[in-house]
Amino acid sequence: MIKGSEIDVFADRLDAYSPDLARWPADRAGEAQALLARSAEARALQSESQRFARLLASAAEAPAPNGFAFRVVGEIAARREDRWFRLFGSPGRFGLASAGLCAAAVVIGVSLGLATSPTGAGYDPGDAIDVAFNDVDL
Amino acid sequence: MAGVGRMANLERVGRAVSEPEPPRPGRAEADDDDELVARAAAGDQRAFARLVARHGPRAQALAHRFTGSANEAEDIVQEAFWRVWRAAHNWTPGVARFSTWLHRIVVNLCVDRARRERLRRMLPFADHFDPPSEDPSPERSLGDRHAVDAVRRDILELPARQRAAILLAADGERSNAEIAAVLETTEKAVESMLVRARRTLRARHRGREEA
Repeated sequence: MIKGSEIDVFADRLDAYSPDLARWPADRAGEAQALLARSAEARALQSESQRFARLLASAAEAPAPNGFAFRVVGEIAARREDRWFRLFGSPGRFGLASAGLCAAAVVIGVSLGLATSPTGAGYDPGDAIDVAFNDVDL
Repeated sequence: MAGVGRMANLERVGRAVSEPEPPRPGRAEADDDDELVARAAAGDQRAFARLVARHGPRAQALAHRFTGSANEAEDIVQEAFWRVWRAAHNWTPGVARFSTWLHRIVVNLCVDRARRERLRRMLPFADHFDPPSEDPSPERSLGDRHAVDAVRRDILELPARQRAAILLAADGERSNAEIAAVLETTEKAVESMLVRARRTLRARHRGREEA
């Protein structure tokens, strides 16, 4: 006598692992083999699951369009040649480009700071530095 | 900025699957893939072209059945290989299969696209700007073709993660562990996704047969 729950568990496992017992965990595959040997209902379930698996496999097929690989390789080559990629995208050059940009930004920032500094107008930043860094109470 | 974050995420992908994969007949091919990726990282375009020729068609099929459009799928696969090319220098040989990495990128791109598509559908008159693409079916007998086409439509209606899981499982060549690695989740979660997806699809298929 096969318990209904055994069949239910078997049906769940068919959906979880597929009807191909070679893809099941070994211990569960052993249990399934034993059940299949004594239950026509289990065999019918597996057979139906196999039919549906074949239908699913057909549904998942899709032939690659003509020239597909050629186009992919060509597209990647074109992107590589892109001048922006040559400057920023290449992993090898990315660090160099970034470092160059950062250095340029620092130089521009310092230059602007010096050029627009109020020190030229007789302002002495010494007090501000004392307050900010030395916590001097003026 | 999100692109940069995603790129960083992809670049560590080759090392993300920490568990060694079980030996399989395709292991020699996987070793060869490792060598090709290393050569591609060094700028060898022929090696890269071989990777595309070897793995592109399967990635294309996955993206095609996920999106329902051959054209969209090709865009996705091109983008995936572009990311592979750019991140190839971060690939760690022998840790994961190249196909696992590639399919993970493809699935992530597909899921991103599906999310954008859902948002797009919320826009008024969206379909007038971008009607759904046609997808000619391969040759089969009429009855089979109808059944297969109907299942393909059902697959397109599955939630994105279930859709990816069932498409990865459909050819019977990946273990649930490999599917879990592609989807960056646990085997238990994959089992659950597959159970739900297969039940949904089978119920709809049965419903059509009975009608």
